[in-house]
Amino acid sequence: MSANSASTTLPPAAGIGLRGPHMAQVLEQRPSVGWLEVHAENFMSSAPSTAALECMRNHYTLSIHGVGLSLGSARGIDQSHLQRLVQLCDRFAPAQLSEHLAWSVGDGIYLNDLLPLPYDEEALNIVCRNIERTQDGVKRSILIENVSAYMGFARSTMAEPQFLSEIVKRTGCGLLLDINNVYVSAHNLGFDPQAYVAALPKQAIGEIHLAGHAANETADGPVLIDDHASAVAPAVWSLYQFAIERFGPKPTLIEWDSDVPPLATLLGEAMWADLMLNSLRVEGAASRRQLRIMPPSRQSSVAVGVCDHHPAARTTNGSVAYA
Amino acid sequence: MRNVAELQSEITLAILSGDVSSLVSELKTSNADVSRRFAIYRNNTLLSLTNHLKAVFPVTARLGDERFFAYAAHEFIRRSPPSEPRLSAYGAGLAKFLSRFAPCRDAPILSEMAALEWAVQSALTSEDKPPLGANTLSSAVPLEGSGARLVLQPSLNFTLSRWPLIPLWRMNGSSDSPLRPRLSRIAVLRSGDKVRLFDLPSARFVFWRSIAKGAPLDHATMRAIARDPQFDLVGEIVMLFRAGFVTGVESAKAH
Repeated sequence: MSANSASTTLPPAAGIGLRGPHMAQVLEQRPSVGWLEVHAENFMSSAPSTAALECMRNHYTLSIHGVGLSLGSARGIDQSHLQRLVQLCDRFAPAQLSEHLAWSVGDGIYLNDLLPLPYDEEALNIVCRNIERTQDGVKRSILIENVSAYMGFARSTMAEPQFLSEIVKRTGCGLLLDINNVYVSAHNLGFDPQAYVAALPKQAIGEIHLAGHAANETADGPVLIDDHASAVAPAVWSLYQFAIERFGPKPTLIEWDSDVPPLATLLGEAMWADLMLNSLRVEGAASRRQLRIMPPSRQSSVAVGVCDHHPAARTTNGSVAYA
Repeated sequence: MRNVAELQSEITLAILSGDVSSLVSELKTSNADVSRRFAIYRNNTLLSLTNHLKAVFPVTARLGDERFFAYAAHEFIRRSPPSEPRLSAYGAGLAKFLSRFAPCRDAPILSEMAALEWAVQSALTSEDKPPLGANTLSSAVPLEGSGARLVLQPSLNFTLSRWPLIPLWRMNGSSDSPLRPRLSRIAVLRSGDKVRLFDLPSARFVFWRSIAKGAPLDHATMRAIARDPQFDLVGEIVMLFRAGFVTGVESAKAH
């Protein structure tokens, strides 16, 4: 499926996360892909890539994905950063704007990671207040993405789908369902990923993310790391199939942020997502089952970089994660 | 129980210090050690910021050995973490940090190369304004008289070094022969999606830098002549226009 002209809404097709190494090639070759998504913070300076995105905007439908607004920060969101996001939206008129159910700024320090929140009433009020301020600023409804988690909080009184449902109800935002993040968190925290997906409000799902993860062996057994450094794992494709059968065809993004492969590899992953989305259009559940399309099985885990000179890393096999 | 603001302050401290002991009762995992799981977040922060610094300072990293650079970057991150999510603005203080970092005391070239690489990063993320053409010189813009100023490209910035850094930077930190100290006065300018580096004579360096800082032409000229009595003002101005450095002219009356 292709949509090689800019549109005001994301098509229910596969798009790719556009990263620096592919920008020149995409500009030159203009490959057929449903849409493009970029990280907001990479285009908030006058760098040459910002001018390149201006050209892209003429040919592709664009989604802007923020990673630094810190919607979960108890001390509120940074108004300067929100203003930069507003300017970005004014300049590029993206079809979609999304952020994360996480915090990344504590006491004025930006931690460059998406940290988890306790799921209780106090945190719910904080997130809803920050989302409302954001939506007021950008004058549009945004999508909120679930992040990968490696730990939870003893004080939590709600499961994540319930917390997200409350956010949707109170703020009118939509949801960006990251299937890989659900799978990673389900493994790490011990919950059923299908039950998680089934508990989400169907009408709120505006976009889906797919990415690769790594499995690291630790003293506690394997922990899944959301590293965006490999192809989508077979189990994640299966969960994706479950989700789109439930929610219908949704704009679906392939993300790949570390060890970025050739553009053709990324487009290949997007092709599988497109085939699966298209198979939903076959009438009748029995026929769909017969036609079920699933990418060929691949190695589901990869080695990830370890910070070997840091004492903590020697025991944890930590690696850089994304959402 | 802490409120969410206090919890986030404590987590921020623990990520930077590595000491998670005060948080253990608040965190929850399923059959896994809480400290080990928390360390994943800590490593995410330190590794991703280290990778960012390696990308902005690749030659400094290579000159000092990448493992040593990662160690220095960790120390820098712990002492001067970013204050905003635009990472393109993070790293401004690394050169100064390295100049005072005890393990770098015998390798001052590291901080000077870091200053050059930050100048490159600053240039690349600055606006590239349309230059005034050389024909502006023949138009009615009054350059003569005290107080007139040239407005130069915002990406133009400067650094000094005791070594010939430009060839070393171009060779990505490699050198065919032993590096001999030589004072370098370097200007860096963005040109589209590239940067241009200039190793300047003393008078020109002072002249350009004075103008870039907003000094009127006559003041900049006096400073340049103090360095070189033969300083050719007209030739310098024509050259700045032809090279596309000048984006505006402000007459004395404008001030």
